Amino acid sequence: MPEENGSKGRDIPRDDPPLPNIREVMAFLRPYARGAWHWFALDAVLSLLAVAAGLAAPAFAAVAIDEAVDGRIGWGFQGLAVAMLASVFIEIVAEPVRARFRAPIERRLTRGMVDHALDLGLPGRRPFDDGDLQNRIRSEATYLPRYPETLLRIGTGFFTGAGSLAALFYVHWAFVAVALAGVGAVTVLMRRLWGALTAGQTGFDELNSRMVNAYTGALAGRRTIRAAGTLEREVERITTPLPALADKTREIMENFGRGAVLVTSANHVVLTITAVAGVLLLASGSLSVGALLAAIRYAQMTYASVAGIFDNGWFQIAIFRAHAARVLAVLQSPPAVAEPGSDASDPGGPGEVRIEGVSMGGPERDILRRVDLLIPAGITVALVGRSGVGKTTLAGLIGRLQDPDLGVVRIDGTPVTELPRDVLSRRVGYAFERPALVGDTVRDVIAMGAAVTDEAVRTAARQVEANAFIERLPKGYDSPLDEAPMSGGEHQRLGLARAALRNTPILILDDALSSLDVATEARVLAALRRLGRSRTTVVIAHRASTAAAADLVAWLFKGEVRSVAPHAELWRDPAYRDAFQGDPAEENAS
Amino acid sequence: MTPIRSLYCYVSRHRGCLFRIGVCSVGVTLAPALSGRLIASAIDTAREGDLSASLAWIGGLLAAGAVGVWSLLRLSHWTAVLTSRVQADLTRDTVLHTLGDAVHSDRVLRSGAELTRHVPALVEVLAHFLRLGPSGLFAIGSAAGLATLSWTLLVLALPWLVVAAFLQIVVVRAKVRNETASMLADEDTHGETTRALQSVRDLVATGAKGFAMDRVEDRINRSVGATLRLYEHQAVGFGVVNAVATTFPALTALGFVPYLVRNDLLSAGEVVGSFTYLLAGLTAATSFVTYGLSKLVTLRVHHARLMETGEKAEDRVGDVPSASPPSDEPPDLAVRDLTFAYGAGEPIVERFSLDLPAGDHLAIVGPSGIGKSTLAALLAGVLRPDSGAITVGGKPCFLRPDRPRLITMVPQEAYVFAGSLRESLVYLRPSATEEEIAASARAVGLDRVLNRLDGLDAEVNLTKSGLSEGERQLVTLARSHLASSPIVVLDEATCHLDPAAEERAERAFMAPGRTLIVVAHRMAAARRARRVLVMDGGGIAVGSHEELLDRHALYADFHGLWQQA
Repeated sequence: MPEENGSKGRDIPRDDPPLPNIREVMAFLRPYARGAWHWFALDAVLSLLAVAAGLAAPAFAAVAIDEAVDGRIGWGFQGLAVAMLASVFIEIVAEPVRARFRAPIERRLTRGMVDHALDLGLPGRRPFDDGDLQNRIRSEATYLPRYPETLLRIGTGFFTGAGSLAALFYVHWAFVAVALAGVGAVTVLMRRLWGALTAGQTGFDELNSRMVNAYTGALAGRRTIRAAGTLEREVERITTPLPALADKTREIMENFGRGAVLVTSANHVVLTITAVAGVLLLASGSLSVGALLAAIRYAQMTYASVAGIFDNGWFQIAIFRAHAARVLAVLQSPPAVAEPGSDASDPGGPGEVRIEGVSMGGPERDILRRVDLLIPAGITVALVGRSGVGKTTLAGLIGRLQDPDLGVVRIDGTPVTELPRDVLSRRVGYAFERPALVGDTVRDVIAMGAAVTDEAVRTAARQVEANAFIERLPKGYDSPLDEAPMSGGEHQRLGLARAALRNTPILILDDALSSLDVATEARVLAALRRLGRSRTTVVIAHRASTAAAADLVAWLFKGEVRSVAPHAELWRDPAYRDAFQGDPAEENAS
Repeated sequence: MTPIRSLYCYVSRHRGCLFRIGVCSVGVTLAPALSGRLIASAIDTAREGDLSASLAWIGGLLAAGAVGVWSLLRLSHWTAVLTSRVQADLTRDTVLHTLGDAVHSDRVLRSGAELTRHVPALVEVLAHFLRLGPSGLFAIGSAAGLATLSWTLLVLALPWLVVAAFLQIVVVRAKVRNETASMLADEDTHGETTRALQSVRDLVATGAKGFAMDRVEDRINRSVGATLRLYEHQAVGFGVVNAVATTFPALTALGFVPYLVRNDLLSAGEVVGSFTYLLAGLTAATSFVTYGLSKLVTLRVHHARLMETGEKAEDRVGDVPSASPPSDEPPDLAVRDLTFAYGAGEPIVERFSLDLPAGDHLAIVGPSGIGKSTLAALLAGVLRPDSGAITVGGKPCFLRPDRPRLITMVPQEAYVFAGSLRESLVYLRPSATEEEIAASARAVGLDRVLNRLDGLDAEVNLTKSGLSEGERQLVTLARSHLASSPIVVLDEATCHLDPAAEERAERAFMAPGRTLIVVAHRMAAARRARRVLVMDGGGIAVGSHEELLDRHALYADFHGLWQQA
């Protein structure tokens, strides 16, 4: 086997968009925040008030101290009280305001992500791993609504810094020099730390997702683990990346710790130098006790605001940009099946399916090669062929579960690519070998959003022999799905009932009766035929009995339609019989 | 075990770390705790004109700061070490606990959220607790410092703190409720999103995307609403507590300072010191209590989620001891008076007996949902009989330690893990040689897949692998073949293979002396078997293919329809 064939199927190429810049992230979030900007404006006003109160407090405190030293209470103390109470009040109000701004963004963004993710194709064929996709939707997209308020925090940080500097200058120019030196040191060191922080995080994410993948895989393989008695070995295998992961955690935490150390040491240096300068000025009588304290406080606020801009703002921006890129990658992936642009209407028709020159590539070889097949309206066609020959893929093209690489599929003359999804799903119905069941109760699962009466649901279930076992469930049709233990065959019958209920002119049974015993299968097929005499039915069959019951058999061989004829006619061909019970030796030869 | 105790259990494994963290925490709080006192003295000496004494006090401040910085550096190092170790231990135990739970109870209560959400949340709580040490010590230091300046001021602040403590209890109670609700709503959203993403084919095919989106949107709205409520209650609750615990006592005490000055109880420097302690110390104390309590809530909520369990303790399956001696007995399988039912439902088997001498080949057939897999699990010794016994070589086989060596059970779901194909293949027999692996792969028909994937060391990715479901079943079949245990149970293990591939795989297991039990998915498997076991609602019949054709109406019906075709 050539090498490129081995790796082709494992990685679906996908380009992650480049990191969006600060403005692009904002532009991306803007439409999601429509109608909520007044909360953001309120947050901005409150933040500015908080900055003002924070800046005023040390000044009032200085006056209050001087008043206290004189043994009296005056406007300094009153101002301090107002500033402190205002800070507390703003703190109480601001977080709910921010949360109200974030809520609609989170709601719309998450919804938009899920909505688009559902258009990215069938599981396993999507450009993202399931876990990865979930992570982007549930964790990264929910983090992004905090972006605008983070920008705001950077802005208020600047205001605080500038305000403190101005206040310092007002107290005495000498303090400004001290404070600026502190700010410079913090800025230089924080910038250097930044690179280390972002680099550390990526390595961590990779290791972690490898471990989580192994873990979820093992949860699915629990029966094998139980039978083999290998639980402890599994735990060992899953936790192999753990030591490296612990090292990464330590590294990241230490980097953050260094940031804290930086801030604290700058704090002490500024405090000490300011105190020395203050004490000298105090001794010379050019500074009051209160002013000294205010100077210390403002000096600390200056560098603390710079540290805060980095810590709460700048470092976060890097994370936001990375998250936004990963969210954008999902939203910008093209849908697997594009809806027709014009609002085409339902042309109607008896249900003839015409497949013309359809080809489909696969991971290691072509699945379908220039397939032509005409399925006249109203008949039952069985698709027969070895597993992996492309039966499911071919059947999936009719209802546009995916599009072929080449060729056209027409229903009553109209290419399926020109039929809107709602029209298409009224014309083509499917039942699968393993139906995915969505809904809370058995009734929900069968109706699956269709507005139908209980009686219609019951009738559909009866046709596919599902009524009896549903009635036996504790709460019948109202039984919650997760409380109704069901076998594979019962699941299949719920899927069949879902298709029967929709009663489409074209019905595709993709191995949908495989878990039913042969007798039940025959009864269900007969019932479905009675119900829709004029229905076009496509049955994917592994059993000869199923093929025999069809009007015609389309025999697929190596990605091509080898023959279309009644079962009895084809049965004479030994190669056809092999499709059901072939000889392993023949398989080796091929 | 209470959450705090169980977290402590993890921490206490690293007492050395914890001790160092304690020492460093004291060092870190030294400077802020002394600062008020030192500044007070520096100012008073400066006002008295003793500049050198004043600078000496400031030198003391610098020295305390230096100790603080050094301590903080060490503190962050040891905190990182301790946290990362606890994270590793906690992750390993969580995997053991939750995977063990899934393995033992065959139910999955979880979705992987424990590794991505709950464990990180607990680790974060721990990191916060460790950081709380300094603020707690700082609060105590500030109180002590304030006491050296003025007892009166300390006493004035106390009543507020008592009121705040009571308020705190109310707030925390509400927070537990809100946080639990928010977390459950979040998990619900996660679950519904996963279901929708896994059901895309069906949603597209039935045009029901809108239906699924409505359901997802409903969960999103509820989850966002719950988070909003959590934030609102939390902001108001903690804000009020903060005001009562910090602002009110500070203002009360500060309002009293001028009175103390007038009565010569406080010098100018001491006024500054008092302000420093009251404004900063109380904030530290409040953040200690508020933050600590709120993190306790997080701890409790996530811990409870992690500890949930669905297993029955008596059904725990032990691991295979690495060197259990091989049994000398011939592995004859005997079933005596076996009865089994799920809960209070209809029994699936009732007083059933059967002998399977070594080398027998049995096919189990019957309509879907009749309990074929359950019977297979009972025969394989992974399910406990309600009554009666299943023995291998005369000893009951349920949960006996050498069971996995005697019996290989291949379930319908093919478990192939991310990593090299070789890892998946030697799973049941790590010591297998290259030739043995190749022979087993050839025997079941995996060789073609191996060729395609560039051999044994091809990396198989779980979700985007190039392996179809049938190919994955071939991998598990080759693995089970390699295990070469005397009894093999195939539970629809070939259901994704076509008839030809199925027959080839099944014949690989038909060796002299090896007992093969096949839950048949096609009638051909029944024809290959020496004996057939038919299950229908009425009971169980065992016989050869020909015997059953003669005397079992349902079996004849199955087969008749097949031959007609």
